[in-house]
Amino acid sequence: MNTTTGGVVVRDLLPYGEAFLFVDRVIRNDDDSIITEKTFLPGHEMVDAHLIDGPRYVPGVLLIEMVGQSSLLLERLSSRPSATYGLLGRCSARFISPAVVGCVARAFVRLSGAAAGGRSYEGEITVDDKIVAVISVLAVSSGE
Amino acid sequence: MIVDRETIKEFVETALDRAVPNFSLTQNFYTELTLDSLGAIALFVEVQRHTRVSISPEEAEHIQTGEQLLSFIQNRIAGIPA
Repeated sequence: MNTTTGGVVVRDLLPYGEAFLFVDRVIRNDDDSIITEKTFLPGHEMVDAHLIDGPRYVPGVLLIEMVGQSSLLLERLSSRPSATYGLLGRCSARFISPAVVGCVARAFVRLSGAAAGGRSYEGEITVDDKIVAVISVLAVSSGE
Repeated sequence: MIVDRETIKEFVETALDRAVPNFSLTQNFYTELTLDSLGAIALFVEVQRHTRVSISPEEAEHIQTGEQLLSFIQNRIAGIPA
């Protein structure tokens, strides 16, 4: 696996603005898997708007997005040609324990299948080495 | 991996995200089982995940029934070109 430094690469590779970036760092990657991190800080509009009377948990949908963005990064950093898989077609998620706002979430995402213009990925989100969510996504070519 | 009617049924049910109690290999995925385009991608990715048989978008267009899918997979496993 390669180590990729910092958010500059992430910002360059993901087609999102700052408010919709749910990967801060790529920790390691190879052609079939990637490890990313995101620090969910208070002050983020979507995080703050979730359960405004508490508890302060990271919205599960943002963890799904983190896996989706990680899968897109996996493709864009891979040596595969036509790495344009970006649109999430389907997802399923099991939330095992809450991710508390302020945490550093780590996503391990691996390519699990590819056919007919689609690719499937299996993701696991951990916080402090504890599994908080298991998420699978089906991505289809964005046709770029 | 042995691929048979039951395996195909499981793939189809995963793609449709529902049970198909009266599944038949002759049913058309699209007109009879109401599989949509995204479901079709899910179906062929599921096939690849479990059988390692890759199906291109062009090949996928010609596979519209369980019978055709089963035959395609069995031929690929046996090394017979499509």
